[in-house]
Amino acid sequence: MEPGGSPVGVSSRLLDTAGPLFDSLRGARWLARQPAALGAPGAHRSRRRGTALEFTEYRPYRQGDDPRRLDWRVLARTDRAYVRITDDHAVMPTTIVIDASASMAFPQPSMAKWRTAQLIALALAFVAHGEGDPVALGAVADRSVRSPLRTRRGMLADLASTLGSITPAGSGRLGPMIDELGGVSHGRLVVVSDFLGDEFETLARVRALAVSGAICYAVHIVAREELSPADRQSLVSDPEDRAVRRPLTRATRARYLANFAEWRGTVRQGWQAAGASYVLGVTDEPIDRIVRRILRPVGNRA
Amino acid sequence: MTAPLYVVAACLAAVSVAVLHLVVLREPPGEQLPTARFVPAGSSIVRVLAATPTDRLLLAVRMAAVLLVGLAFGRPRVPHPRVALLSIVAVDRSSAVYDEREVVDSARLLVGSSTRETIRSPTQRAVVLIVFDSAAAVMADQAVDDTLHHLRQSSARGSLTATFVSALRVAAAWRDRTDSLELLIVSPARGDEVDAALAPVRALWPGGVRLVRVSAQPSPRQPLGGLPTVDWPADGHTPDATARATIDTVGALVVGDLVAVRPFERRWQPDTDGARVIGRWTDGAAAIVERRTQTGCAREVGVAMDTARDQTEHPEMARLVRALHAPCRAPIGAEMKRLRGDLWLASGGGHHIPATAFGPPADETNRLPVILLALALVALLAELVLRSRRRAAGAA
Repeated sequence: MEPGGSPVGVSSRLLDTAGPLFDSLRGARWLARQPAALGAPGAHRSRRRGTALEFTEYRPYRQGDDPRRLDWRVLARTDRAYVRITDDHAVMPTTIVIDASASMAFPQPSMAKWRTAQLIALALAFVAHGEGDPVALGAVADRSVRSPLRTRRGMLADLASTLGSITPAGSGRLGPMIDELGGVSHGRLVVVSDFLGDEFETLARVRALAVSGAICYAVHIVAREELSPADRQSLVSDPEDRAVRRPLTRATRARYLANFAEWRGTVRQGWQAAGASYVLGVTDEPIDRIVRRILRPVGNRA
Repeated sequence: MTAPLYVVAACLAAVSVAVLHLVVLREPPGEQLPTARFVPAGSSIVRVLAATPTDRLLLAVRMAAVLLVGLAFGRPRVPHPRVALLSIVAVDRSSAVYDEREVVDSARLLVGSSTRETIRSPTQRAVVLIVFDSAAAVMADQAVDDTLHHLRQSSARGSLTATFVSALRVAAAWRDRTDSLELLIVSPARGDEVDAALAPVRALWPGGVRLVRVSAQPSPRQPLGGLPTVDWPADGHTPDATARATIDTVGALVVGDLVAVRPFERRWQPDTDGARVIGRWTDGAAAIVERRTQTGCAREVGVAMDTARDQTEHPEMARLVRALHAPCRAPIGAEMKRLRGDLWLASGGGHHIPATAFGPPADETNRLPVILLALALVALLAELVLRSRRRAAGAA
């Protein structure tokens, strides 16, 4: 919570900030990479077949098929038994887990990483809500904040209020939060984080969810100041681990950049190997561009 | 400055010290960076180039120490006012002088004119007074008039050698403060003021000497103690003489300036108790002694004479016999020399001698480097104290 501000005021300001972003994303679609599980009718193709009116294809009748699904006209004309296949559509429950640890409050005082993460979460919720998908939110700060799956009107304002009430602090773990949020295995999971905490534990949970059919996204938030620190001597410290105090000099800067790039590559490969989509978002990048990279089908992400 | 390169090196070292003070080992300003874990681990102390020197007091003390050491090794000299001519006036106050007022008047004439010239043009001429009898004393410029006013004749014999030695010292000391020098001696220059060392010492003075000759005492002030009685036994056995353990032969007998080279046999050793040794063997053993008596003196000769070898007829022995019969208290064997005029002439130049003709002032004590080194030592001690205090403050 910002000093002197109320959650309502903060959510209002957050919504005001996100207004142009919502405008730019209006009409955007967030297609599921795979059929949705059983659920309420929605915009996404479902794994369930046959009950809908929308024809998809014919398939030769196999023993066990419901005889009512035989297309009698085709059988009469060709003397072959074909089954009429139709697809169902269902909603895609979308769970957004946002990292609100102390490292997200960087750089001070702008907290650009946290602001970027907030707007990305809101934008994704906006797009998902536009398609009728229920959206849940989980945030990990020095305390955990959970918002259950919701589709009702005003959900965005609630999410903005929840996000606005959070001040990044502590070194919370994302893994337990993913476990706590139910229904993730049948829908989408978006993790918005800098992955500087329990990234390996989180990745293990995500790998298990992906195997069970969840569609996972990793949105890696990186500050520009982390990608290219100021070229001056300083003694840098990890806000989540005060024991880490290192001299950042001209001599160590190049090594830092190489280590950081190597680590980012490792994180990206880890998430992609787990079947998740990985998107890197830099704080000075337009938010809508980051969001569109997330919405883009697999294979088109830069 | 004798060795300016040391000063240049000290300046460079001082600049280096100042530059090193700009390099500070300290923790850089801290800031948060979530990705700090990717910075290679290392010492949190880094070298920082400060815009202004840190610990200026310590820097000042260190620079002072370095500069002082450099200055000390550069052997600086305090610059003296330079004069065109230095007049060294040597005044004889020995027993050879007939009338001390004549000496004072002559000296005052010389010094007075010099003093007036000095007052009129201080950079043109300076005067140094040397008062001598058997020893010489150097008087500074300011004490010249006072010295002449209180000058009293002494009973000591004059020594021109001591005068020349003092004049040489003064000349060396003034080498860097004057363009040229002159030596003026107010003295009767009597023969007894000359010794064997005068000629070689005079040769060291690279020029002429102005001698203002004053009246000499016609004879020593104290009358001689009468004629001596010479006791010369043929076998050399004088009263109270002791027999030598071994009888040997030495080649020569030295009496004053006389040297008699003959195959003398030494059988007896004269008694020297209460006597003055006036003749010695070449190995330093006493051969002839003189004792004071009521009427004069008695000279005992412990030299055996071999009349068979005609030793007494040799010219050396004849001179020896004459010398032994010289009046009591007179210098034995020394012939009264008449100073030759060419002794005072320049060996190759005039009376004014360029200062560069004299060597460096070997005996001049330059205390400035020592003082500078002492100050440098003090600065180093202060630096040590400051550093220990700073370390203690840092630890606290």
